[in-house]
Amino acid sequence: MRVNKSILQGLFSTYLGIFILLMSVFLFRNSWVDKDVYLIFLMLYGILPLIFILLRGKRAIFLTVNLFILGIIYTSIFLFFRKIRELFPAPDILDTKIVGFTQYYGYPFYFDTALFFTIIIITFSMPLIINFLKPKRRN
Amino acid sequence: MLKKMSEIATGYTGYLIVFIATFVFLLPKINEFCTVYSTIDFDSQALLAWDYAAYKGIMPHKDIFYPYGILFYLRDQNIFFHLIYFLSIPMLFTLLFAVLKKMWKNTYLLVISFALFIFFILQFTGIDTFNRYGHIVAFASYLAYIAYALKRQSSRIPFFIGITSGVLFSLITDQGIYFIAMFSLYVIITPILRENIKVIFGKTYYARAIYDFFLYIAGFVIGFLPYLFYLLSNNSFVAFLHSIAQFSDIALYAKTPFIPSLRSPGNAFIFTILLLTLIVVANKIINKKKNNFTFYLQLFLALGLILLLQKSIVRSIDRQLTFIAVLLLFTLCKDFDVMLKALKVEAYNRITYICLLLVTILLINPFRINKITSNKRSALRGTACINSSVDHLTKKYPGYKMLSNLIRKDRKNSNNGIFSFPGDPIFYILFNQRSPYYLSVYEASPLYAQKNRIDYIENQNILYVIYNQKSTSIQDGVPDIIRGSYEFQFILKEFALIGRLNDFLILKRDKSQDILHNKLLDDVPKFKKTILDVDLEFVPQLEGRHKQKILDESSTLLSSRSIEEVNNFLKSATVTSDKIILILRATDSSKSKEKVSVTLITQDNINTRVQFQGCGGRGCIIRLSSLPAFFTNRIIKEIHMNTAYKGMMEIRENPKEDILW
Repeated sequence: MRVNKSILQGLFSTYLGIFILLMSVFLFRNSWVDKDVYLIFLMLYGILPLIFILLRGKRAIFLTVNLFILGIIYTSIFLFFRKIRELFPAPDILDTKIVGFTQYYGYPFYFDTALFFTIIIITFSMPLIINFLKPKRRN
Repeated sequence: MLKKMSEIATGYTGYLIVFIATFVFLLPKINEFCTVYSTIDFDSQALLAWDYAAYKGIMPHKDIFYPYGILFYLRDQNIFFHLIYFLSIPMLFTLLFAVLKKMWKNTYLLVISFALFIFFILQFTGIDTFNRYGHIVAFASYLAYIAYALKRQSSRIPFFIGITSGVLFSLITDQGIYFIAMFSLYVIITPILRENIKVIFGKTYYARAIYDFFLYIAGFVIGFLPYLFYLLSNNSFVAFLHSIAQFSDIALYAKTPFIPSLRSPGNAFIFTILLLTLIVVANKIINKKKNNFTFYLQLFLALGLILLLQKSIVRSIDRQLTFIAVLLLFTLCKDFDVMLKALKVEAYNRITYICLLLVTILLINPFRINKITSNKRSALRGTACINSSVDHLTKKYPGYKMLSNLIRKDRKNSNNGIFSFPGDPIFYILFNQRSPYYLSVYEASPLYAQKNRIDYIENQNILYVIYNQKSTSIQDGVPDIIRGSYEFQFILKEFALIGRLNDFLILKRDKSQDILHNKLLDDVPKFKKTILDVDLEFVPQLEGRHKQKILDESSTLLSSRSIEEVNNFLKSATVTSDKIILILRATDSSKSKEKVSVTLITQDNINTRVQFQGCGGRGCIIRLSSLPAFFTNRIIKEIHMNTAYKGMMEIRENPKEDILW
């Protein structure tokens, strides 16, 4: 896909201006938008058009797909957080008789660590997986 | 002129200028030896108590629990450590300037990003936090540099890194441990980055790794030697090792949920930048664009941040790690700059776009990261320093001094000590008394630590206990009487209530009195409720889930679905609280998520209620002698349950093995 560079630059400048304006608006009137929605917006949608425009072509499409899949995974994790938590074992009160937050409220001790590394590994490996799966060019 | 300035900034002179400039800027702080605390919350009291202990020459690890490293403990008391602390700040700034210089080719972006970085540190992170976590960031950046720049690594490098790690481990112990982890990651991944993944199938890879670790450990031992001599000369080495071994216990009692804290501004910022960085790094690996410094810097900074986030997962330190995300943001802006350059965007426009982006994110601050509010620092030293905080706090909260005067009046000329529960360490300062090893019931969550505090009460000839009614939960919503139940049991058995002043109760040594038959108890309804109405939340359920096997060792006195049958048994038999446990197994699983409420009535008309989360599945175990009402042995005559519970109740003998809570 060939794109005129000056149009690209114009688009980019316009986009950046709109992006900054929107973020500034949200800053001063963030009661208009639920905080979580705002954060997801910042993470995904604010960056997506930027990457799409700058990278152009099929590579950009695969990256965009990558970010959308990640967005679905992150949203699912946050929506089903409690159900996922129930899959993890509750902590034991050991010989040290320690009763902290996790023991008192029955919060699985290793749940956060497992979820954290799941998010990190999925985020890092998603581009590698998509690259592996994308159709190769015939010589 | 601009060209000349550009040459200076990008040459070695630039490093010297940055070091001198940051040194001069921070010079007024070199005379600050004292923190004046303005609030009497638990954290401020603990910090004040540690300052007081350091001033009194009390040894950390040996005589007082202090998990933060000797540098922070002695920085205000010892001129040598004070200078190390002070000089490390401009040194860190200079190192990070060197990193940014290596990354940016453009002088304007270098200067602007560095200025924004310093601004962010001063406004949002704080110098103390930067001085604590900045070392691992500088180390990660250095590893990135040598991974990128050195195709063949000299043997001296792991050795000198080991010495640095040993020194840092001595000064800031937990950061030293991160150094070890960071170096391990470096050894594992650098050969793979330089060549390819297939290198791990060769013997050279493992031989090189072992050799590097050997050199690193040799250097580490040398770096640690001065501190080792210091510990040995003060008979503190064993205590130091013990304190490191306690790190895992700290994680157990300090852990709070992390995922919900992702909503905080700091964590939102950190994770946005970190996840973006991981995507960018993965894409660079795919497109084989890893032969530039920015890639290595992103990778190692991201690894360093992931390591530090393990601490945040235990207990969120989101605001303290945001500056690392700022550095990663600079690396992303560098990639952005490269993209714009590939699009033939002019340099002036590129600089403008990047500056706009950085200013928006860091100055306008859409993530709403809060500015730091730190306590005041002053030039006072020694007693004057401690007194300035104490005077300020006791004026603001006069109850503390009033109570101290009241106790002094009661004890007359004797030197009998006081003990504070759950933990107001300011009292030890007011009484000019050495504090217990663990300052409060929070650090003394493990059983061995509670026993240590009990030994303190016995050995220091403590005559009074000051109980703060206002503090029902010193941290995290966990009741103090649950967290420190062993210690609380000792206090209730050995001390009697004699008076009250505002939120404080005064207990005096007298083991002849039963606290629940004390006439003053009705005058302190909040304390009475604390003892007689206990919420155990998930504790019985966890005991039921994990300790079933020990039940085979205890015989059943009664097992019934009928509460009437249970009460008939209790009326006919003499069942004492010290000899039995209750086991509840709910049969109606739909009700099992509701809280169960059990009311126990004793022969001497003590009425106590215990609540806990439902007991489906493996059931709940309650050891009655763990409840405050049964710290003194009593005969149980009646049990009542709320309607939330339907199922089996067992009364069993207390197992011989003491593993139940």
